[in-house]
Amino acid sequence: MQSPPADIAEMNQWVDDHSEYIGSTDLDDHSNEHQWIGHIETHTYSGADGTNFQNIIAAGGAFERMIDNPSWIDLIRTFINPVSGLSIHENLLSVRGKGGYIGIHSGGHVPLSYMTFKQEVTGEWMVGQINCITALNDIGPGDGCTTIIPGSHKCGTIHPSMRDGNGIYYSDQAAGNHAGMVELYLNKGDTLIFTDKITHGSTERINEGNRRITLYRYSPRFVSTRFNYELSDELLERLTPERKEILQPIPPRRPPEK
Amino acid sequence: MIKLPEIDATNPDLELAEYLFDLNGFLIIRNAVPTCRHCGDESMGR
Repeated sequence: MQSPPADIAEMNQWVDDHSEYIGSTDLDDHSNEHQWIGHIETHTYSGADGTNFQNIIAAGGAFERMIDNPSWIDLIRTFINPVSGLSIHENLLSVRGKGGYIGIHSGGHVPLSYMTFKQEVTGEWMVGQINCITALNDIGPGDGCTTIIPGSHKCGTIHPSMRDGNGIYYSDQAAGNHAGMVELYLNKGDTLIFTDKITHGSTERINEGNRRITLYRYSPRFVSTRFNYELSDELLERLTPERKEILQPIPPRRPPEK
Repeated sequence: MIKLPEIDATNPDLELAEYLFDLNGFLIIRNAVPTCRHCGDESMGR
């Protein structure tokens, strides 16, 4: 009997099966039914960042197992702090081709409520958001890798390159072009976790082909989801209790049915 | 040469992971997700 594909192969097969959606997304047009695959929406932030398959957990299988992958979930719980519980702010699969990139953004100076790292009085862990990027293919030089300025989550001085934007995000060029950035190369199956408070972005992809990653963003249970996708009845029924608690940490509260 | 902050999911050092994440704000977890069942490792990594 043929064994089932491992998780990375399974997720890559899903991308191959839906390749007609890559590069066809409009900016923030969620009313276009052709951009939806069931409860998964194809999306782009700016165009340059490529095609995002938002709410990818709805695809089930390996994407669903990623919710509480044992390679990182205990670390995530520790860094957010168990008293805060967990939620997923956003989950997506990103496919980015030649010329694509993400601009420089975030940093210790940003006054957003979830941009925390430690409890400022006691020093306990209290990370407000952790990004968890998993490579579905090898990401090396020229592939549009994630870039980070190590330690910048503790820096209150804004990166000079961000002064030309709104102080939080600057998108006119790839983050990798800016001083202090370190390129992070991943092999398929590797996962990069980082606080969203750190100054980060990506290099511009100059190679042919596509970079494929999943991005699951964890926050305390009190942080709402970015796009508020409704969980389908099918998904809610099949979720393990542990995964359901992460995806729906505060269940809907309704009057009793008569 | 800078050695990146990383651990290996097949033999994780959680104490090191916590130190590296605190210091740098990021951490690479090598071999975090199974890639190929035909390579002999069906639970973790490649």
